[in-house]
Amino acid sequence: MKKGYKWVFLSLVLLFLYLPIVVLAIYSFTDSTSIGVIRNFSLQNYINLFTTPELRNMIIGTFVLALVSATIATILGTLGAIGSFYSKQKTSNAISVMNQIPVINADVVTGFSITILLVVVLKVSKDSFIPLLAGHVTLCAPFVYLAVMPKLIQMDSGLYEVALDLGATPARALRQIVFPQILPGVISGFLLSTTLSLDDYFITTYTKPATFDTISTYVVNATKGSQTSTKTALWALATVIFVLVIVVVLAMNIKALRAQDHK
Amino acid sequence: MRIHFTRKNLGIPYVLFLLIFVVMPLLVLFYFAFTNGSGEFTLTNLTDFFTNPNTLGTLFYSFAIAATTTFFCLILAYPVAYFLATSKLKARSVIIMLFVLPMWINFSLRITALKEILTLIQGNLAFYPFANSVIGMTYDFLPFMILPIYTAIEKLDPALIEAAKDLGADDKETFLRITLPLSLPGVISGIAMVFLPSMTNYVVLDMLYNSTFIMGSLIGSYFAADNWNGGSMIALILLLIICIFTLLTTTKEEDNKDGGNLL
Amino acid sequence: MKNRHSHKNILLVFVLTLILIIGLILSNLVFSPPAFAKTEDDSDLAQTSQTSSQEITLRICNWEEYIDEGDWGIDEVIDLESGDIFGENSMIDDFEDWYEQTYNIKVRVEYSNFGTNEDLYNMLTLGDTFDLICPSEYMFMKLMSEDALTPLSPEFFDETYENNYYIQGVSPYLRDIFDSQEIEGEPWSKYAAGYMWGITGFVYDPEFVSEADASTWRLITNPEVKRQVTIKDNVRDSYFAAVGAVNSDLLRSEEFLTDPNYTSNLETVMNNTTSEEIERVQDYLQQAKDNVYAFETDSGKADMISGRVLANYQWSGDAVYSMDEAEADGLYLNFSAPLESTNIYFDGWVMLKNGIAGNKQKQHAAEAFINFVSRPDNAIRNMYYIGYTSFISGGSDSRILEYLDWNYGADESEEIVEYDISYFFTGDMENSVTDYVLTVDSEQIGRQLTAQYPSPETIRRSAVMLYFPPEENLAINRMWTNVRCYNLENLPIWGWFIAIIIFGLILWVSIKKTFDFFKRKIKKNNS
Repeated sequence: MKKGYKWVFLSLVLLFLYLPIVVLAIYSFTDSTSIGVIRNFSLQNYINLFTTPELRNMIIGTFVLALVSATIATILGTLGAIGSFYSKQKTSNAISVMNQIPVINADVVTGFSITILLVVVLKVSKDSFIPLLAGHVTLCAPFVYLAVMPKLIQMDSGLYEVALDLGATPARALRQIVFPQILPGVISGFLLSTTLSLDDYFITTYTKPATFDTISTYVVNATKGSQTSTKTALWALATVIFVLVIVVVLAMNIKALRAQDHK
Repeated sequence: MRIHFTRKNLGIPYVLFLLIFVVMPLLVLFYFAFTNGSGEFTLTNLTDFFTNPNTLGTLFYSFAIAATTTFFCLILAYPVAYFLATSKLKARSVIIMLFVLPMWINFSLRITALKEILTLIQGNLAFYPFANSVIGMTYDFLPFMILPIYTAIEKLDPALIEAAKDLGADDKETFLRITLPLSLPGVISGIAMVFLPSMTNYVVLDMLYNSTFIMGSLIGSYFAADNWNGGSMIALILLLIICIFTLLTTTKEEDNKDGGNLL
Repeated sequence: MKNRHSHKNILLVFVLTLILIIGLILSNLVFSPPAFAKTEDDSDLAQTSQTSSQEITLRICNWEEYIDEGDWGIDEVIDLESGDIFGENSMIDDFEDWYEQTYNIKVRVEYSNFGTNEDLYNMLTLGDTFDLICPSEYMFMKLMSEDALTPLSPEFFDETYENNYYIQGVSPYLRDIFDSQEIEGEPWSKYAAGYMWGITGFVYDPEFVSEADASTWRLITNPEVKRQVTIKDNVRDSYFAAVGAVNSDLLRSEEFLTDPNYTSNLETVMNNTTSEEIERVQDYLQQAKDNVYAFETDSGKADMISGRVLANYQWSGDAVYSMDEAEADGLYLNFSAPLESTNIYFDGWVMLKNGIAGNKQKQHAAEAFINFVSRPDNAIRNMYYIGYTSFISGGSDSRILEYLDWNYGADESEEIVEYDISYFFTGDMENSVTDYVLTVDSEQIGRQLTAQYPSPETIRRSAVMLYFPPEENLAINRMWTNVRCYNLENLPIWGWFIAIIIFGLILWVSIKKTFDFFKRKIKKNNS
């Protein structure tokens, strides 16, 4: 295969992935209300994005929800992984199976089942945010478990025993020996949880209170409505998130590349 | 009962959490699926589903969309993953990040962007609902297919390739008999991440003017009509499909070290 | 050694679980404050229960954007002969002021919204309490049958009391409907006071869609507007349209139209919920699914104005809004109420038993609110602001008529035509009264005027869509879910072909896997 064709193909796929977002980004800097007509350069969309209380609250709410769910999910998932790792094989398998269910399940089913349990059977009000939080944590925690478990398996188990022999309490040994070794897994689990929570639509739709919106639910409903100023403000939002993601991911990777070079 | 502080008991909160928010909802789903409105046991929800050409048709339609999406994702993702994983570039890990990066942008924003571009090209999206839905799903899930295949190919022991070359195999044979089979776990992982969500993500269809239901929207409509029984049965059927699929595609996990690398 | 650590151990596990619980509670507190929720009521946060007889709290739940919110532009003054009408403050604020001035009692209104009648019902079943709500007729029929409403007090109907604007000003035509329509032996008017009403039909672009095409519900499946017509994403509205389309030949036939029992026959046909009819409707709607642009609730207006769709199934109030907005952009849209029948709907104020709870003062405040919005100048403000048609004809107060003249009356320069809407002011469908015959610009026929105040012919062919009892409702809802599904009967031969191949593949793979699984197990047992 000629080298040229390879790169053409790669660029085409890259184009497919990025063209819509880039076009949206370009138009977010104009005052056009629909794609196809460029009028003038304008930052109005960004101003609207950051000054409309509705949009601002919605964005803040989304991030707060993500961070809180990710935190709880990380704590639960990490503890769960540790507990499961040190349990008997049978228990460990049982926990793994239960853990795998939300992972393979469709979001719609997870959200639907939690709503039925909490709202219909237990009559917990959606306005208490409990169903919403429970839904998000259920979505995220299993992935934390899956991220931490391999690190536990890779861990040098002898060190824990050595620490005990040297007089440390189990708690201290856990804190200072085990935890640092699994920390990369915990962190990646936390990051994955935030991503999942930020992106989620279905669980949120079924469990959220009527007046709360996340970015996903807001965008999906806004595209049905008629407000053009909101529509274009969302273009600005898409651009902002896009830039943020690029910056973060590139920074992380260039750092990793440099670290590799130094090795 | 004295709960000693042991490492394995750390898992208790998580086990409780899983029991309440994963196992209980499933039990509730089973309950509702096999009862009617007054709580009596009945199989009619099940038989209704399989005798109604509309619900069966929905299952079929969902399969059709999912299968087509998976197909297109594969033919786009595999070459991308292969070209990048086998290239000698140092910056290839950055480039693969570029392909995977859209995963972190909220899918509703990405679909909005795609919708604008498609509207620019087609004018009225409602004329080609199936095609547009497949395009939308492919656009949404392509990064999810690229990553596992890339990871699988990248982890191949280069010695194997060299050995094959030494034994006289040309490029094509090497690919077909070494690379492809060994990359299969990654392919299967990618398929799992694309096929099942595309059967349930009805937001993509909604936003791209496809009025036909898929399994996800069917559940949603039962939910909106307060028909917990019918909805639960559909949820269970979906779960069954997912379980069968997972069973058919999991190979024995001998290599736990790589199990959790999701990022 | 062990004992000392056991205490710490228990403590640690306890603390960890406590963190989990605290995390849940904390996040609850973080999310509760109004900073993250859309505030819905106009008033500030304070007590929600009545503390003294000096201040009453009135909880009202109304449709979204269904009342004048004030803040009109200077140029929006409605200058009538009897005086100017201008919406400076929100009507809620004006009501609170007026109530205090008139009755010397402070009232505080908590105003919230709902999007559909079903949403409202869900809110009520999930525990929200209101005093005064404004559902559509089939929903307050349902609430009446569930004994959830407080009847209007006898004083409310006293025409001699000057502040009883509703009973003095309500259109005799509509009043007759409310008096004669009953559920479980009780007339609507015992519990409900009308607010806004309208009909349904199509908003369409006359350049692309002929009036003939738009005058039938069959427009939905008309291939000339393929993928450029929308229908409503709710079962009742779509059902009505489908029944109209399916029975089109019957409903437009000479014998049917000239039958002396036309009105009751029409109501029977349009409210037919037998299983055969439901099947026909399902078939029709499944055809419609392949012809429409989308099943919409809100987006139709915007798509119509932007020209993306050529016809839009609309309620008359939204139709007026669309036509006004489009006119501002230079696009002239028309409205047509199909010849088969049009659905006449009413939104009315009713009081909830568990909200009023026998509290006479609250009831008085609620009824005063109904009267306040029924005062002709306020009715005009609301009509102007939201586009729907008020129940109020004014009685001896001529302002409503003046408003119609102000809004639709013809200048000397335009081609004029006579438009008779006496029925609305007199309740008499047969005779016309010259006062109530408007002289309008002929271009208004088929546009906003006929949407807001339908002609007598349109009214004659209008039908109320009744409340359906639970089993029928269930059947219709089932049908509605089926409509959006892909009907397997439509699968072409090659589709079955592919399906069988794929199914075979899956079967082969699963059999192979089970074989391998058992082979391995046997190997394990043998070794």
